[in-house]
Amino acid sequence: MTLLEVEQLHAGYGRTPALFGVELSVAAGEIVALLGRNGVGKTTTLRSIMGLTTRSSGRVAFDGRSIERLPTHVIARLGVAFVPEDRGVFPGLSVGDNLRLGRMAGRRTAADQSYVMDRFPVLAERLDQDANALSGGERQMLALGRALLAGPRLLLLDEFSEGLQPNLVKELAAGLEEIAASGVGILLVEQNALLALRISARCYVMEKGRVVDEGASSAFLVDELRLREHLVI
Amino acid sequence: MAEPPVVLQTTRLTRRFGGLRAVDSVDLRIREGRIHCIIGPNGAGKSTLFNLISGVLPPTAGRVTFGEQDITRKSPQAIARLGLARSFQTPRVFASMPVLDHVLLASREHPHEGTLARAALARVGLHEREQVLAENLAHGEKKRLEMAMAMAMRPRLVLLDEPTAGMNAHETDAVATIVREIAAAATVAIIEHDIDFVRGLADDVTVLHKGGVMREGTIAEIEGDDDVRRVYLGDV
Repeated sequence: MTLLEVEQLHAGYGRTPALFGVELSVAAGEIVALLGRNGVGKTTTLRSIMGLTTRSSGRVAFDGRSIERLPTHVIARLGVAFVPEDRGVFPGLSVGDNLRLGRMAGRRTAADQSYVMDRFPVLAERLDQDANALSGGERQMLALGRALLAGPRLLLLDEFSEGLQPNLVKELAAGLEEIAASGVGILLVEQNALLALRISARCYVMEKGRVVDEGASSAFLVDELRLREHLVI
Repeated sequence: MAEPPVVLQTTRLTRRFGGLRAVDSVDLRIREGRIHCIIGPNGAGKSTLFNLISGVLPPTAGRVTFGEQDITRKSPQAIARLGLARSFQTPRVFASMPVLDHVLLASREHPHEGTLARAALARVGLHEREQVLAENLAHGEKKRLEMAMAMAMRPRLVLLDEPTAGMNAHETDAVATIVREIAAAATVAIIEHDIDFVRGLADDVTVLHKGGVMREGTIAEIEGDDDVRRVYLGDV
């Protein structure tokens, strides 16, 4: 079942266009990677799905419903969770309050907090601390945990491995596969292209605000020419 | 062969946040001319250690010595003037200021500041972007701009906090080249999670865990350590 469908999306920031007809889809239970060099429009694509850019034309459908004109909080309530690259953690609020906000912003069927605590035990130790006191990697865990607590049906992840210790990256990669297996669609932007290709079923490659290649991730992994051409590996 | 002299030393350096000992009695020696990598789990205290060394945070206890000088509790500006430059995990640039002006600021006490600034931009590959406002730079470019600023200060010691975070393989290679250039004229300490990057550059490695020093050694020694593999590396 197709969960997310993006058709001919043109978007940007103010009067500066950044996307020129992006097309992609994500099915329920599928991990899809969005790859490409820095500055080609990957983050803008995620932000546009969430309603955080100026969208000039095109369609974004979630579960068959057009969402391209909906405000961000309504998109979140429908079951789309976004973990931005800057993590969007609220300083001045405790770790626990940041997590509670995730539950409030999400669907009524939001996940149990113990699910997140099991995955990120360090957060359990720091529930009462100001989120501002967390290290960069811990903020990453908090942002991911908050997104999971929203009980998303679609998870948009921008650079989930950035700043995380190596063993945690591996655990999280396995965790994402588990989350997808429960029916959640995942669209991930990731500079570590090999990692993204290993855990995703399909991938899209962007250049200059457009999707220029797509296919099964397994096919990309064995096609060195394609990897070099698009992904600078 | 004799070890190079110590350029920076911390002695029982400690920083508490409430009940949390973020940095716990750390003794660290960084030797002149080396590339010293600091690795460890998220929350181990790595960035806090850099903040204590560079004066961004005052320590709760302990001492920092840079060259012959005690720099504990000196301001970041005073420490920078002594020859210690740093970059941050999240690049700190002025959004509405052009690229070149950032580097001119960093080199302003040099008689040939313009030449020095442009040379630093060329070395990080930003020479064709000198009039671009910093807010319009991609993430990786902002990180390279911080490195150009550090170079333009002509420092004795450079601290780089996760210079490759968010970068693709090609950009990571470029950063490794830049680090080698910086290291030709200065001592470099780097916080980094990319073990391939560390393996290619590090002369010395310190592993921090729960605020304290867990291990010190070469990258081969560190990668062969079962405890480090358990808490940090996994099966790499």
